[in-house]
Amino acid sequence: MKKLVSLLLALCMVFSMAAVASAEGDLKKVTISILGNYDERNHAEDRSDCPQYMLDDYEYIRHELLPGYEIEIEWRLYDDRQQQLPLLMAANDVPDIVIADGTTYMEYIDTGYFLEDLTPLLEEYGQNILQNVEQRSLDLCTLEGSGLVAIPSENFYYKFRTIIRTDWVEKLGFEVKKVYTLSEIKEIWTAMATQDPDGNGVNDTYGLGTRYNGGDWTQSFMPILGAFGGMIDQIYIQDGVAVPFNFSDNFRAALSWLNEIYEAGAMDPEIFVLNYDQAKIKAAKGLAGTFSGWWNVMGNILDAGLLELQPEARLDFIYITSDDGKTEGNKDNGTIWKTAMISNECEYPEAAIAIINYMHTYEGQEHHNAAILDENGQFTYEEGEEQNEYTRLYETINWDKFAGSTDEDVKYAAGWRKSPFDNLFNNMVLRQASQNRMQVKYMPEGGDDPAVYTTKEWQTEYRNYLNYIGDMMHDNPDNMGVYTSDFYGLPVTQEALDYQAGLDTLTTDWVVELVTGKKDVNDDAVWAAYLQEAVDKGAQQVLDSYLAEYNELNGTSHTAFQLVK
Amino acid sequence: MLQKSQKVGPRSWATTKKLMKRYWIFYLFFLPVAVYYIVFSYIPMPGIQIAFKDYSFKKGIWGSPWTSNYGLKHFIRFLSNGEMKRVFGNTLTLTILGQILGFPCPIILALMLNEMKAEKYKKFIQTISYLPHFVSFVVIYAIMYNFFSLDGFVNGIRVALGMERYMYLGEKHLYKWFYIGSGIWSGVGWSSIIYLAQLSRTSPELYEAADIDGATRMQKMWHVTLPCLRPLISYQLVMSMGGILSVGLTKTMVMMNDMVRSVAETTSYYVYQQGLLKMNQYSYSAAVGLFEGVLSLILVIITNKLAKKLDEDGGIW
Repeated sequence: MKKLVSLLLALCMVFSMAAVASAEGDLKKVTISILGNYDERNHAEDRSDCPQYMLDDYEYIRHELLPGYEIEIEWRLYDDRQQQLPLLMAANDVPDIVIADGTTYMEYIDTGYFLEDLTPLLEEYGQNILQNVEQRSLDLCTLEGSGLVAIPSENFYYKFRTIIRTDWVEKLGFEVKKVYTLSEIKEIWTAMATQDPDGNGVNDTYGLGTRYNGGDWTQSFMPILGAFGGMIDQIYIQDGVAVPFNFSDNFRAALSWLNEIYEAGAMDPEIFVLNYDQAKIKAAKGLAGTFSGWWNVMGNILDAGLLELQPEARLDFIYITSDDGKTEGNKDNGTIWKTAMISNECEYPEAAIAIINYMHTYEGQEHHNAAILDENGQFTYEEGEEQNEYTRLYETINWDKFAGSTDEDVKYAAGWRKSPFDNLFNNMVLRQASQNRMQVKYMPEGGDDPAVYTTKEWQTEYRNYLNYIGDMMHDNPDNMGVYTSDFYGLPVTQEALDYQAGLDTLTTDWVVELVTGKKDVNDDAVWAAYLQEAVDKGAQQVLDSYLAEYNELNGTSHTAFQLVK
Repeated sequence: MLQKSQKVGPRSWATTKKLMKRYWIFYLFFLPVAVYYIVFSYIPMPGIQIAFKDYSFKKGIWGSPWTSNYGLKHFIRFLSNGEMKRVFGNTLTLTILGQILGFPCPIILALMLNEMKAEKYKKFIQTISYLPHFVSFVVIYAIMYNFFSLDGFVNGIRVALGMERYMYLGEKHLYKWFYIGSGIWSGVGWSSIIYLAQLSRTSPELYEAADIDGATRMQKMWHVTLPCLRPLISYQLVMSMGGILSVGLTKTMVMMNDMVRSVAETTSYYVYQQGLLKMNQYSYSAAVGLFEGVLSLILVIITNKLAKKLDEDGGIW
């Protein structure tokens, strides 16, 4: 009897194991490799410093993202993935998912390493992508004869802002407001340079400083160029003619205006010289009344020492418009933030698409930045629901002194951007929407500390800005306070490869000479010499080549602006 | 000892084998060096062909098609798009001036140190002059910025003297002097070591003989010290000519700003810009790099010949 029972039990065990084995056998075990950046400031290379709750999120991806699949992610992390990619391609070792910046995917497609016509895969496994990515972005990633070749992730329109010292504006007797015309700002900047607003008895301040993190005049001058109706390196179709802003009358007028500012001593004379660190130090010293910067630099500048040196310092965003108030704006680098390409060696492209598809959800976007999911794979923002660790930290964080000194701040800072997905699959609308609803909900009241006051204003401003931009993106995409080149997204032409590097240097060289007054921008002969030199260096050929592409793609017959008539 | 009139015939393989067997330990020491150069310098050499091809990742080096114009498309592109004149002109300006001004400096420093009698002071000077060699150029530029920026030390003196501030770091005509001057400052001490080592081997009897002949210090330096250095100087000259067209990329990137960009961009920066920052420009940047390499080789050959003409023992081969 004992033998019989033992036999039955043994049979049961065998059947059970067989059943389990059979169930496991149905699961496809898939490994998807993703090319990413390793940033030692953010995380350890082996992810050993990831908080546990973040690592747990992978369980969701592993088991539930795609029914019937067990997906493992293999990160291929490098200091600079963009530079590493050619080496991987040369070694025939391309990861399954490759992310390219902007529209640079076009440079890779010809290599033959990536899948083309991704639309059928997206229709089956990527519905979130199709629903949350603008059609125009998908169109930009669609090539004739190849179909959709890359999956775009979208960016907000340009987030460079113009920042002013409102305490100086007030002290100098001007009205503190949001929008200034060119004439008004010229008067303010001149006063900032001549009337010692910091009160140290020396005329060592100026109106327009270099961009906060320096090194690029195109960004330092962005609000001025915007007020003159265009942006550097962009081309606009005007009355059937393709006009490059770099060679337009508007650009010349902007340079003339900037020259007046320079001559009046109202611009930092080292605006063309400062590198990244030097510009930051200078901004923190509080020598500039206005400068450009990324939307979130105000808090950095205040914390970098400005408040210690000048406790009364206040910063705010402003807009600079033409005197008639009609033109204003910043540069838009295009709606494509990055694109994901799928290697044609990828054995399970559906799993790769499923990962990217997941990133196009609120949850995915949170994971994208800081990996937040509770044990049920759910988000718990609403009151009454159980909170996960991340949400709890969000609640207790001192948002006014972001990543500041409290224990909770430190914990939060430890988790911030530890996600390996960091910045790879942005969907800005989803991401900001999810961040906004948390920030709005958990924003504590500000105090009397000027730093708190100012940074709180910045956050409010940014929320408004995002909402404003978000609304525009969805409701009114053709009417934006940003400039977009009409040639955005066109494949790079051979002429551009041949001549663009030289032309960039030429433009910079001339802008420096014209703004600093070494050459007279108002002299027609000088301007003609600039145009002639540009033509000699291939500017007309580059324009013609892009226009030919544009006309062919759009079925138009626009003509090119003639630099030299 | 081998006399000059004697001819050295080719060594037979049997003799070579015998020598290798006898001196196997030296060959063993040499082995890692040989492996290093074979692996990293000779095996990749066939890759040069991508300069004559339209390189495709998928097809690889050997499978990529040859370019039009008998494989010279990329060379023609570089020579005809105007970039060659600019970046090559900048490179030549910086390197030739750098050679003319920089090459004699360590020799002069070595001669001066050699003449110093106070040992402690001499060692102190030597140590001070070596130090900048160990400092990153980023730090050196930060020092330069603090000296020459509008708020810097030099402008502080100008203001104190009632003069206007001057934008030293934004002046095109000054860029080359800052570039070369900083290079000399950071490298002169270190480069002088090899000359000092050679001078320490100079026989004291030569100086004693010169003393007996009533030579002054300058005469001794000219007729004894310098001739002792001559083979080393010619060797160093030939070696340095090999790298004359290679301008340090890091230094260029650190020192360059928008005001001096047009005179600061060199071939190495151009190759970096085209080859690494842009995709599918490998063939083009390889062509530019090869062009530079061939010119460097020609310069080395010419310098070697000149060195041999000036001095029988001069040159490398």
